[in-house]
Amino acid sequence: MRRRWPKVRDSLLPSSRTTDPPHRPCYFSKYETRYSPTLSRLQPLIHPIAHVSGLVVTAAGLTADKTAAALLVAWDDDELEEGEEAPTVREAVMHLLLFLRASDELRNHLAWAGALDAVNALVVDEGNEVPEMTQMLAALREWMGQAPPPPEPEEGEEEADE
Amino acid sequence: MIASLLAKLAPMAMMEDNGTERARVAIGLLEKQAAEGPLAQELAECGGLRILVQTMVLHPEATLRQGACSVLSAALHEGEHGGAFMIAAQTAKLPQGLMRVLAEEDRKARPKAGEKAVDPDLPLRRVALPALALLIARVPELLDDPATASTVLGAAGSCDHQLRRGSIALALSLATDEATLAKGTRFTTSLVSND
Repeated sequence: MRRRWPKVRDSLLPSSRTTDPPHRPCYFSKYETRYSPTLSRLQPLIHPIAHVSGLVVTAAGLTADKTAAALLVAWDDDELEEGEEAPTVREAVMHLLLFLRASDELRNHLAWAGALDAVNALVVDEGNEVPEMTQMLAALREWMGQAPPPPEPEEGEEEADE
Repeated sequence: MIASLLAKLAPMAMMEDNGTERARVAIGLLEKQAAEGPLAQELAECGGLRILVQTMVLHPEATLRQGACSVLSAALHEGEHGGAFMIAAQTAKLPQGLMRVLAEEDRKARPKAGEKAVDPDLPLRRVALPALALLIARVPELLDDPATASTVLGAAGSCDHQLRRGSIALALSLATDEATLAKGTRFTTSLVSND
């Protein structure tokens, strides 16, 4: 008899699952094979149904350092070119980040790369002129504010830097 | 006709005398044909997608890389394709080719003294992004590979405004909901198009 989708978090680990759950998404096996060490972190994002949004969040988390750097470059783009309509790239990035809040990895790398400072600076600049913007910035500040301090560089890395 | 033009893009053909020049002419004619009428079905039937993907990714000449990408993009933009084209596209590794083109670091051609450095592949990437968006819309399973979404997100770090805008628009449409994929694709295409 096949088991149902496990509900207990520990039971999501591959070792504890002996048979495929019903309605198992076809791509799940790929994740399990390639990223089994992070399976327990990925699982909530792709369960129960593979929404595209969940896959984007997962991808953002897996390449958090590069994604954070790319998004920070886009964050600096606040100008509309001739013929373009709002939103600006920065406003679109704000919207995107709100959808990517499920990724703690991305949050941490963004905060460590200076995105929190950029958000704080914008909060001061914007004031309360645009309520929606203020709300978005507040949400992003709250999210990034939960990031832990950046990891201390190891001794070997410090020496290499010097 | 198409098959004979594609044959000019084969590496062995290009190594012959005036082979590269013939390849340039062939790409030009293919682009013209793609602009004038449907090409996708014939490309799929004669196995031409593979050589176009190879040219787009590997050819040392920027104009040929861009030409190959333009032909592929035009084929993708033709509208509804039969299953044969999409199967041929995946067999020819078109999604991986587009992702590789987008993921490459900005190339800077060495300028002559006093000239501004240029990125010869920027036009190629501007064509590749909406093409990838179209492919994702038609084959959402491409997102099963995290590299797809990572490539889209990574393109946000481009030094080009159009690419940044297009990649964020596409990522936003993907992150919002799968139902908006098609809408996002049109949005991205309009953002990145050179018209």
